Amino acid sequence: MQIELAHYLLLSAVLFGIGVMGVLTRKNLIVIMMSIELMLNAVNLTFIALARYSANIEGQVIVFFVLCIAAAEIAVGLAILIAIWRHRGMMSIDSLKQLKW
Amino acid sequence: MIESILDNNLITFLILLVSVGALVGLFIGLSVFLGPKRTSKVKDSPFECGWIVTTDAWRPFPIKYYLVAILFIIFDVEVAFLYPWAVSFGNLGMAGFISMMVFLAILFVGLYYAIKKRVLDWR
Amino acid sequence: MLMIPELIILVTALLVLMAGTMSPNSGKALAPLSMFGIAASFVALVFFSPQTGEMLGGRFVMDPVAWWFKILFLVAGILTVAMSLDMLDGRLTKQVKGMASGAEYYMVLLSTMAGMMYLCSARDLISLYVSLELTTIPLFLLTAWVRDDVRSGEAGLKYVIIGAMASGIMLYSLSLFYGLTGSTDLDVLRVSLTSSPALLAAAALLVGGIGFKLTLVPFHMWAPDVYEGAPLPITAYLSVASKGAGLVFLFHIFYRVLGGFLPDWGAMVAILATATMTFGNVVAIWQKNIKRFMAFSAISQAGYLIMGFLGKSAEGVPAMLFYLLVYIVSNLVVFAVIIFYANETGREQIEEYKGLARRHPMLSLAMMIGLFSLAGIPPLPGFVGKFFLFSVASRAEFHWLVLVAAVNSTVSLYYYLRVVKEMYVDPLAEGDEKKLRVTPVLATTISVSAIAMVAMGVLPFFYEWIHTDTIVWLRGLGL
Repeated sequence: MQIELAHYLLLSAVLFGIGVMGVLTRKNLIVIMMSIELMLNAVNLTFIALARYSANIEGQVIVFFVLCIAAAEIAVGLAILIAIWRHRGMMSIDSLKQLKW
Repeated sequence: MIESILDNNLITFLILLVSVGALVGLFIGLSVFLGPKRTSKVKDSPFECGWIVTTDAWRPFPIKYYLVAILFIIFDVEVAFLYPWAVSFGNLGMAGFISMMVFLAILFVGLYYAIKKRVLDWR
Repeated sequence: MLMIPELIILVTALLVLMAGTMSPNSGKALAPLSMFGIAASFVALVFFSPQTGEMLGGRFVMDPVAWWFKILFLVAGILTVAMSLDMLDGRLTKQVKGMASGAEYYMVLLSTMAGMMYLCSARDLISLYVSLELTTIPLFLLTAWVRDDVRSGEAGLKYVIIGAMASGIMLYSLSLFYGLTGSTDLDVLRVSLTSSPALLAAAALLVGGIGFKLTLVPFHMWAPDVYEGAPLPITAYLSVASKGAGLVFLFHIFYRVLGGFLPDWGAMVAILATATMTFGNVVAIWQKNIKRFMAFSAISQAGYLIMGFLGKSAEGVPAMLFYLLVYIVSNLVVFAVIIFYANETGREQIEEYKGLARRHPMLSLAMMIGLFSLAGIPPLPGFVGKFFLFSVASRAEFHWLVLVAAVNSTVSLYYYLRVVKEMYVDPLAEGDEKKLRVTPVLATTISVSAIAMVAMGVLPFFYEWIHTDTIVWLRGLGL
């Protein structure tokens, strides 16, 4: 079986779905952050595959920026997480109860 | 492009996906239903090289390293931009050189601020 | 040079950061420095920047609508800096502990402004995404600014999780757009997109992702928590600027890229608008905390705002732009008074506004005008803006939506009046007889923006100006 564009797209859609489910269902905040990373990297895979199959460089360029932004997002998220952790000593989303969700 | 999703190969791939999932589910289900369950306190406790467990696995641990780690991430990702720039340096000319220098200058403002704020001091 | 206003903002951001490290008592100079930078950028934009033009090979384009949005963001930014002054200089009755330095605050605030301004001029999926993230990521930080306040950190964390997920969803839709055409240039996208199921999926994901920014129901759930937890000036900024950024993004995608498909999606927009305004209004009635109350009020305003996507773009675009301008100024007037009251007394509950009119009549008057403008009472600009939006919907044959919106407007009048009643009718609480004093900066901010707000409603030329400019823009797009 030859691997074609559709397979890449399907794989990245599945990975993206796993990421979304992770964000929505997991309790541990670190795991939620990891799921967000998974979502962004699934999109990166889409971009790379599309760029490869349309012989067009722009899809690869955007991946650089997405990587960079994902790092910034996670750095900010972890910084806030640590600020909270110093107060609560908890890493579970159940501890976020000061404000009604 | 996306129209090619509706390709014949996709069907084979889906069949593979479903059958792999079914097989894995079957094995896990069999072991859950048929396997004997004998639990005891000692058996359920985590294994720590033969020691008696002292704390919870989720105990808080010191993370004063995190500022350095976050700074590392930023400069690590910055390198991702430097490699393509370096490869096509000859074609970019003066404009490419200047824009990368501006980019680096902005990053160094951040680094200067971090040093000034004693983030990198290891207390 | 078209990029001068943005560059001024960025250079000011770096200067503020550097100035913060110079000497320990440079703190007082930071706010004036950033306000000077914003003002300089404003002057450069209004007087020295042409309204049309492009640079960087068409990837950074100036057009009349971008010009108007930049003006909006600069106005919102300078007002936010003015409102943050008291908090950062420590002129509060109840001291806020655990705040990082003012230099970082202004630097982060200025970078989110720069992101919004770049967003207006972006003409490429890459720059669109990068500038949207430059807008959002600093806002996460600002929300979690008060380190020792558990609510602030919690709000920041919720915002990070929801915001990052929303941007991931939006990025997925951008990848579909790229896949359908093989290009990231918005103008190429417009000519080469054809109707297909994948395009519908991309548009749906995009509305989902941007719906978080615009707080459209059902993507609104982060807003009340984040608004309540964030420091007050940031709540004010979030409620106006984040909405503006979402609207710019939708303008880019809906008008620039999907201009031909928009008329078919009217029903979807109408349903979103109905759900958003009804939910926001119904829940706002029950709120006790003024920040949460303003959050739900902001949600319902977003519902009115997107009514402009129905019908002809030549009517919808100026109506939305004008309403956003009105909403920004009215909301900031109300928030400035809320900030003043919270700074002086540390109170945030609606029932604690009892008798405010007797303690500071002028500011209560400003707040009342602001609330009435949000409710849409003539001759205030909120009424004018709503009138244009409603007429857009009615000319697009969405008569039921106009009816729903009118009922919602009446309901909103009820809960806005509740605050006014607390301020004017209810007697003073025990021990509140002392008159309140307002700091000069805040007083100037409130009076200038209140006067500007009233002027927008009374003078007709604002709308005409916006209208002429947007018609030029739409003609350029062939709509």
